[in-house]
Amino acid sequence: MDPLRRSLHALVDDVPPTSIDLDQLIHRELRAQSRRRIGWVLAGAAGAAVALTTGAVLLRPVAPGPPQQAASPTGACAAARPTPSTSDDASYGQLPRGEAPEPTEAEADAVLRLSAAVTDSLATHLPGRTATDHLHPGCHWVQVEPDVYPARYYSWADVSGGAADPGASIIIMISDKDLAETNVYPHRQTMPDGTVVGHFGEPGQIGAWRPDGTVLMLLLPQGDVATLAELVALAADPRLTLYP
Amino acid sequence: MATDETGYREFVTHRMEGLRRTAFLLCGDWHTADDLVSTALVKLLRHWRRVAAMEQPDAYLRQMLLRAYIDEKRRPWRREDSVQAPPDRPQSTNDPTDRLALLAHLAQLPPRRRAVIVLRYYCDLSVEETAAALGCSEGTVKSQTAKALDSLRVRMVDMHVTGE
Repeated sequence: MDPLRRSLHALVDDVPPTSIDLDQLIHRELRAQSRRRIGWVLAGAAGAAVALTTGAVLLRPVAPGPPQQAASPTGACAAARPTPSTSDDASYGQLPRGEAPEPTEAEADAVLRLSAAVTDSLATHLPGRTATDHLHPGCHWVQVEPDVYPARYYSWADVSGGAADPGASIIIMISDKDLAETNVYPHRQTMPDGTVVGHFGEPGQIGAWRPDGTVLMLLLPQGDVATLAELVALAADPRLTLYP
Repeated sequence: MATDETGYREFVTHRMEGLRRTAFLLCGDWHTADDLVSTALVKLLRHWRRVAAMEQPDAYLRQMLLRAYIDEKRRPWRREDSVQAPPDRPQSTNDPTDRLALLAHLAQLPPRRRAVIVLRYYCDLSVEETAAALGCSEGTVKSQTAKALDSLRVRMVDMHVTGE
């Protein structure tokens, strides 16, 4: 074995008892998740006619209009005002700022606005597909949640239909700091509004940097939900911004 | 959305010790290592349903550990690196002077460069796997590896650090 390898292995030959209590860790996190779900008060959920019995969301624009003006949720999820994040994990809040201006929008307002924007954007750029599962099945919005490491706002959805692979899903992360090094993408495109979109030449991981400082990442952890062109357009959608 | 707690426990239990070892090599302190591992495990639990379905859940977990380490190094109030033996540690047959020296030299490497060394020479990841774990290009991994090895060679001539 190489001397360096041997030395590194020798450094960790003796592992002391751990201070990690896995039971406590699981209990705390599941309790925090439960609090976050309860914070979404879904008034009149039965009135959400668009939500199918299977909980699928047919991705269609909920409020047609100029891309710059994402409508606020209406209908069944209008009363869905998330309580502030009560997670014990404050690591995101302690990360240094500096790469972009601090967003001034209140978290609860941003969650509602971005939920509408994500739903609208998915409908616009992934036509003919359905979100079969997402954060709150039963709500006809593909919702975002705040402070999910490493993103400021985080959304995910299982997608089916159209060009999507069976069992495919998409993760959307929105932040005001880099989610990956800018030089990791061999391919880059600059959109008319100055947004730079980076990718590997195939669906999988897409990064976008908006002139206003918003950083976005799309991840497809399991299968393809769209073509590369569709994902590039989604990543560059100006509605997905931290600075409305 | 119900969490597969049993599956999560089984996955984590089998990997806990390896994770802690990797975290220790990254930060040089067992207490901080446990903090980093805890952070990664919380993130894993939040996304367990999707991670469990991935082809390479270990790669995802490793990436979360690395992000926790690099973010921890960015905080202005981060703990000072502590190169000290943990309490009640069995006597090792290795020369403690060499062990402390290597830890000290690792501590002087910039965080990403240290991470590259740990991933390449302890975790035995390829250049491609290391690049994916760190979210950087393969060229960056190669250059960081070369710089780290040069730095270690200069500091540790007696340990015959040769790398590849």
